[in-house]
Amino acid sequence: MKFVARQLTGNVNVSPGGEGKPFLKGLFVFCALFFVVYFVLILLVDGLITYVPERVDRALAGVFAQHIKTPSSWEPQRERLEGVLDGLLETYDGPQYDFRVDILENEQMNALAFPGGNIVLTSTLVESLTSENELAMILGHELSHYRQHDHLRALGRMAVFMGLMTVWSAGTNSNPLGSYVVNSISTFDLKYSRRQERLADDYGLTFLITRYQHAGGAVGVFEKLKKDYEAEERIPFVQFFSTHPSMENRIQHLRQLIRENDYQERDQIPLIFELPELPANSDSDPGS
Amino acid sequence: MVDFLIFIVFIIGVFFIGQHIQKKHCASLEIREQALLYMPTVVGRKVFEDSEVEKAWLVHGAVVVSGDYFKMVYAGLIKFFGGRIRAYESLLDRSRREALLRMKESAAADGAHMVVNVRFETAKIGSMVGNQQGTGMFEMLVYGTAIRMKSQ
Repeated sequence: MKFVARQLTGNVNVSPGGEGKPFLKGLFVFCALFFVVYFVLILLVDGLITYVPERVDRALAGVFAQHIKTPSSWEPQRERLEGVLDGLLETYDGPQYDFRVDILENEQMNALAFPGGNIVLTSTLVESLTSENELAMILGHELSHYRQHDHLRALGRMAVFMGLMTVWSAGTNSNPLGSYVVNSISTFDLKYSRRQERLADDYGLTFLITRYQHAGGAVGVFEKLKKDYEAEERIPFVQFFSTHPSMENRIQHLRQLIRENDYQERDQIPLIFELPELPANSDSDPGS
Repeated sequence: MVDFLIFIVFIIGVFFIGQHIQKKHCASLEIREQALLYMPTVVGRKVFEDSEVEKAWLVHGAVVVSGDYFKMVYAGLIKFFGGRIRAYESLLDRSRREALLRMKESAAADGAHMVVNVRFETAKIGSMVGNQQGTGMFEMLVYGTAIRMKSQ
C-alpha cells in the first residue's frame, strides 16, 4: 500500500456559515420571546391582582410584620400618627385592612406601604414633619398605594421577574445574557412605578383636601424630602433608573394641581407629640 | 437597559477580536499542515510500508483552549432553543488540528517518517479553575507511535 499525501479541501466538522448572523438572529428571537412572555405575565398579574384573597394579603403581612416593630421610645409618636391616619381612613374607599403605622429608626426620610395595611415611616421623616397636614399628605400617599393595590402589584411583578430569571438560569447554567435582558425589561417597570407614584401623589392631595379643606402642607413635605434626596438626584440620568419621579418634578406637579383646581393653602395644624411622662423620682439615685 | 447596551457593545468587540484570532490561527494551521503533509498519520496499528522499522517511540501533542465570552453567550443562547453550536465546532476543530500538528512537529523533529496508532483524548479542565460558570476550558491531547524506517 502506498501513502499519497493529499490536502483536504473543506471541513465537514464545522457547520457552514458565520457565527455573527445566527447569534444576532438568536438574540432577536430570544429578546422578543422574553419581552412577549414578560408583558403577557405582567398583564395577567395586573388583571388578577384585585382577585387576590384577603387571606393571602394577611399571610404576606405576617412575613413582613415580624421584622417591623416600632421601638418603645417612639411609641408616643406612633400613637399620634395613628390618630391622624384614623382621620384619613374616614374617607378612604379602597380595600380594607387593619391599618397600622410603625416607625423605623433610619437616617433617610422615607415612607413605605407593606402588605396588610402596615405603613412604615422612618424616624428621620417623622422628626422633620412640623404639621399634621404634612403627615396627612404622606399617609394619604401611602393609603393610595393600597387603593391601587401597588404593594401586591410590586410583589407580582417581582415574582414574574424572578420566575423568568429562574427559567433562564435553569436552562443555560446562568448564562449572563438572560440577566441582562431581564434587567433591561425591568426599566419598563421603573416607568410604571413612577406612574403609580404620581397617581399616589394625586390621591394623597385629594385625601388632604377632603380632610382639611385646603392644600397646605402638600408641597412643604416634598420640599423637605427634596433636601434629603438632593445629592442622589443630582447624579446625571438618575431619573431613568429611579422608581419615583424626582422631588422637583413631584413638587411642580402638585403645584400645578393646586393651581388648576384652585385649592387654597391655609395655616396648618402643628404636629405636637405628647412626650412620655418622666418618672417622679427620675433624678434620684435608682439604687437609694 | 444601559447594562444591556454595554453588554451588546462588549460582546460585539469580543466577537471581532475572537474572529481575528480565529482567522490568524486557521491561516497558521493551513501553512503548518501543508509543511507536514508528507508525513502519514494514521489510526491503524500496522506500518504499511515494506521497509523495516528502525525505531518506534511515543509522541504526543496537547493544547489547552478556552472559548471566548462571545462563544459562551452564543452557546447559552443556542442551548436554550437547541441546535448546532457552530462557535464551539470551529473551536474544537482548531484544537484537534493544533494538537495533531504539535504531535507531528514533535515526531518530525526526531526524524520520524510516520505516526501510527493515533488517538485523540479530551479533558474538561474548566471546572478545576474557579466556578463552572466561566467560558470553559479543555485539553485536547493527541498521541501515537512515531516510526522511523531503516534507510532504503
